[in-house]
Amino acid sequence: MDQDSGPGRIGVYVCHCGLNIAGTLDCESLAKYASTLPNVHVARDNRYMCADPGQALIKKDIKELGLNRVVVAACSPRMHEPTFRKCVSEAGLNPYLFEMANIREHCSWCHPHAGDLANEKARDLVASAVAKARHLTPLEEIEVGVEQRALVIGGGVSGIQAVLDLSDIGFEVYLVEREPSIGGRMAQLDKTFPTLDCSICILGPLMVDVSRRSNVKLLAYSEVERVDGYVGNFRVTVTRRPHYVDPSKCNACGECAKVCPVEVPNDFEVGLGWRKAIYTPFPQAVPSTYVLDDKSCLGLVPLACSKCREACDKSGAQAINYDARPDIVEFKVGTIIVATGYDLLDASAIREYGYGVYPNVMTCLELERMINAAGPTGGKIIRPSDGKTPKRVAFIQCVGSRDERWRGYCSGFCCMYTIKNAVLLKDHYPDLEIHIFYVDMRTTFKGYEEFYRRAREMGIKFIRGKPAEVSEDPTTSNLVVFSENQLTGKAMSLEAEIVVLSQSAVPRVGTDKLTRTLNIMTDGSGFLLEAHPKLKPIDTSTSGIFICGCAQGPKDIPFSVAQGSAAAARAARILSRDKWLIEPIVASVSRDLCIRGRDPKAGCQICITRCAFKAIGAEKEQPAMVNPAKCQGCGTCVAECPHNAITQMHFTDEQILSQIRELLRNEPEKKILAFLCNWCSYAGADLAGTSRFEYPPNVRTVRVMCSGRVDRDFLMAAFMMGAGMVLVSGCRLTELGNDCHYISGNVWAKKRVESLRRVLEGMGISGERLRLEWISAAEGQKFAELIRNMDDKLKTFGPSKIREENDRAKANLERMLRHTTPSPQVVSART
Amino acid sequence: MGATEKLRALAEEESFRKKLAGCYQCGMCTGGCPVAHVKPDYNPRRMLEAIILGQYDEILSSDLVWLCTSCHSCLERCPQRIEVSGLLVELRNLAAESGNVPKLLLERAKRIAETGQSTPISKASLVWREKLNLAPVSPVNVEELQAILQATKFPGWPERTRSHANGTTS
Amino acid sequence: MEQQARYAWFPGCWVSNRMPYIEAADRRVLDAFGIELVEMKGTSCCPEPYAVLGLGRDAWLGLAARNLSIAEEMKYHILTPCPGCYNTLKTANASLRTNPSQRQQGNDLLSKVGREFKGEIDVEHTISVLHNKIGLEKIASTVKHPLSGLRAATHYGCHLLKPSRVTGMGDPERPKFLDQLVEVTGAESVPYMRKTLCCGGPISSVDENVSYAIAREKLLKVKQAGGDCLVVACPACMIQYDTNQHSIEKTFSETYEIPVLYHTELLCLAMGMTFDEIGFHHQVKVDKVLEKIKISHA
Repeated sequence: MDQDSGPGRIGVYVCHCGLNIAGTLDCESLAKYASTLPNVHVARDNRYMCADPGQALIKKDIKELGLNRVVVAACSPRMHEPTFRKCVSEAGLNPYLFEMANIREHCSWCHPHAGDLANEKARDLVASAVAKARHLTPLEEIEVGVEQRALVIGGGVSGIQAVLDLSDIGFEVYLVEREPSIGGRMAQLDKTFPTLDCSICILGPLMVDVSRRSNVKLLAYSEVERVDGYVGNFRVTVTRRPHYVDPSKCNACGECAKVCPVEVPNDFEVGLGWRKAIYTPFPQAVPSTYVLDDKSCLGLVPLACSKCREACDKSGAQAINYDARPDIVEFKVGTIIVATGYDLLDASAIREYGYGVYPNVMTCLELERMINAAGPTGGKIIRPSDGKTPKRVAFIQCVGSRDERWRGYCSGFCCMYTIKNAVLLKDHYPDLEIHIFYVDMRTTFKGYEEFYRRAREMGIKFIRGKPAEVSEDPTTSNLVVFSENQLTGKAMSLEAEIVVLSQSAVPRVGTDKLTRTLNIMTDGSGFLLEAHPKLKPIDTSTSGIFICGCAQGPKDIPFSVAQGSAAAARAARILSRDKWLIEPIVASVSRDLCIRGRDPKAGCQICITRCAFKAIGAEKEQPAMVNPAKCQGCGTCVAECPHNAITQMHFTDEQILSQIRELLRNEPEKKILAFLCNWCSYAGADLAGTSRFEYPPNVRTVRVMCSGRVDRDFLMAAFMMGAGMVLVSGCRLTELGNDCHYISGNVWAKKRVESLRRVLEGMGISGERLRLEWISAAEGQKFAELIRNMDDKLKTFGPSKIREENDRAKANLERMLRHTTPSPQVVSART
Repeated sequence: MGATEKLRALAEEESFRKKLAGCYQCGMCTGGCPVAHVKPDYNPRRMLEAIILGQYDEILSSDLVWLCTSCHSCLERCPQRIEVSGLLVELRNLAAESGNVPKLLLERAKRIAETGQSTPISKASLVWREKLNLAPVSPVNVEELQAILQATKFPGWPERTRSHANGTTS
Repeated sequence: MEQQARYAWFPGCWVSNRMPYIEAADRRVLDAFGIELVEMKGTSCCPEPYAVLGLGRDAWLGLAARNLSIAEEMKYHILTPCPGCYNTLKTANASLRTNPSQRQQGNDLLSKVGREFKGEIDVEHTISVLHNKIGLEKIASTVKHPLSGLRAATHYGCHLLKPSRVTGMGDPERPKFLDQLVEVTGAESVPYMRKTLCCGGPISSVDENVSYAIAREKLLKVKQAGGDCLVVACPACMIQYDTNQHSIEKTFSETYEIPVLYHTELLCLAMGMTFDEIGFHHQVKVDKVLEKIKISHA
């Protein structure tokens, strides 16, 4: 059959979905109506289109009737678009010649009592889908090659797990770690909850394993400088800091450190201990080599000091070389996994607890190092002020967490690690009195509640109350904790010799820079943002880049390890193929229309600057060009191009304008035309339907991938065609953060809509008739309320006022549209 | 509207309710409250809980709302940025409306309404002022003061003071 | 002195009517740095947070707005020696400036007396001027009689510090300015526990026992730390710790014997004035303090 010969033969299939649709809408009549539409060759209704018989029906019609476009009126495309695309392609039809009309989530489920008006809406939605279908063109998925190699950034337990899994599957893996050794936070812990395994004992073998594998390239003391490219084809540039020690020659004898005259606070010991300028971070470090910290070294000038090199030469290893320089390494990978872990909030910022001022107030990690037998005190708990053994220790939870002044979120693992530290302390010092001040005890996972009980059985006391302040007795350096004990209902004070703070986990320093390097996003708290909070916790919105471990949010070790394996699996999906297919709903610049092509002097860079994915480039005096493999398909550049030179496949201006025309065909002044972004607002509208929130049936939806796609022309055309109200809705954009699936499409949408609103007001159209809202996928209730609200507003205007305003603006709109859009169809729109 | 109704209206008003809903009863307010440490009955956290749970009558009829020293430690430290001491002021206003005001405060209020000063100048102070070469205290423009007070619900106004002392309001 | 500045002086009821020696001391100190204090005419109580704000917020707003508008007319910022007045006026000023409905309410009330709040002036306290505008160095240069050996326990009080986003005097958990002002005189600031504890003064007319119990906590801690005296910056705190100290002792059958000095009193002593000249009246005898710093009465 001829797929490219134009709109020709459309098949329309109306699904009953049992009673989900048929219970409210008259599906038979709807199918009959569809058959009256131009270019519709056949229209049928059926109980369950997505089931085998329904699909078989479509395939049969394609083959026997020579259909070249298919429309299914049923549930939301977010549900079954992939199903039907597969179905038509099995019958030999290009999957992009398929369109859906959402008459369930957007109609039958949310307008159960609207009777005729619901049927009218369904007819309009079907007509709109058919109109778009007429303009669909076949598209081929874009094939890109795949470098079958992965990059993992961050060598903590989560990153290590990802590396080992990928290596086992058979892929080469680069592991880039900023510190001199891998191991991350877990290497700093003493024991892990709830099993009280020795942390470095269980981690150590994994670290060694990483270093022994022939297909793993460990780049420690290194950082990712630059990443170019796209899924399957990332070009990575890594800077390796000079060790000044040749790892292949260093045998970690430690003679150099013995003679080094410089002592600086030891980061690994969280500042509790010292290290030399030449050092190895901890005994089990991998790689096992010493490193010379050039920032603390006396100057790398042999005249100033060369004690370490002399000692090393004398020992025979001759590994030290002061002339080492940073090294640049470049390589290509198919996927990138980010596992950069967490830092802890600086507790001195929480002034009421006196950290940094009172010597005996410590942080959880400092205590962890103290308890550790290999730590700075050899495993003894001593008071920093006088070195004595304490008799009573108080722990304070939620320091900086669940606190709008610092971090609003719950830091996840502190309840458990405090119980663990308390249990360890009590085990070493049975007479030690321990009080834990908590707000809630969150002991959710396997064995955790039992562990909490064990702590209580050991005599550890739990007091519910968030302390208001810690005050120091200047004569003894003891601390007094002032809190309410809610369990007795009284305010109380408790004197302790040490106070330990559990402060909030925060994103690692350098996360910001990394997100810019990789073009991935962070959430409102600064942790790396997953593509979908429920179903895609490992993917990012950038194809080929995955996140795992605490970089994505605070979590305990089992969760981090699981995510590490998950990231490996997600990466392997791509790496295991020679070629990776990319959805072709990408942007494309017309070389003829692009001003840079028409006028060599034009320096227009608008599309280039709008693209958050750096997918558009232009040579000097050449038209702009979209790299389809990097293009994520938001359509923002399409809407922003002032010369209408860019189009988005499967969401062309023509297609969308034809949808608008159908949706506003009948009594447009009574309608609300809504442009909803696929990831958030359209999903939110779906949710409203799924939750059966009722709202007025006079809203007509147009699906776009991103609110950034909503062209001014669409909005002006809508008013020119007589629309009552227009809504543009996208992912949430607030002061706290931006949820846009395409990073910043909604920012451009906002600018565009707000400036157009002013222009429209100047033409006589009330500003309230053009609404800009942010509705997330979880806000079904909000969507329903919004439509109700808009409908109320529309009714107060009344149809005649709407018509009056639209008429007043018409001439201006026509003029503006004639100017910017070459398409005659819009200009000769309805009267 | 009676004071209880007003408190209900305030508590159920959307933006207030949302702000107060942030309270997860951590107790930091009570933990740092100078009054709570010497008088266990006085517990700001419990007062907030009472409002969240709708136990309005109890709060307004108790003397406890008058014990807040306005030190603002609670407001400073609340992890949900709830203005606890500010809320106490609201509660006091509403308690005053329903006639629940400590006698000495009412007297002071009356003095302010009548003279514009919270405390009268003592004889000793007059002597001291002279000895220290301080100019006499500048007189209050009582007319302006009273014109403003009259336009408010300030119970220091003589008739209102009486009715407040009796436990009735006008 | 080069620094020439004029402020509208708002002493507040307690300072003018009960402890005018505070006014005198503040005036002396500010005068030494060329600060001129202009009398405000017709002002009333700031108004007082317990008997006015507690009874009716609208009355509080109206009276505060009236006082602020008097300064606006004079075109001077307000300077007050009393932290209570500072807190009231500064809070009302901020509220009227930034909250449109409060401003409307305030101006509605002011219109009854032909006044308007425009939001044109700021509110300062003696300490904010001393610390931020004059500076410790200049103050140090006026010290003629260093108070060496004096172990002073500073009490900041609450209303200069909180709510911190309104009062703007820095960190309320571990403030430094009063300790610095004390140390500039040559005295030593003694660390003690519960330094930021409220004096409890505001509720003394509501429940004396509770009020005293709160004050007692601090007196015990200062005694424990071995302070020679308490230094306060607020008339209400002064009354609570000094005037009421004997009553507190009686209530709890304890002795504290902690003299209470006022911060500008301390500065005046360091500047070389005699005790009688400064003219403070103390309930708790200050003889031991004067002995230690070698200053005579007359």
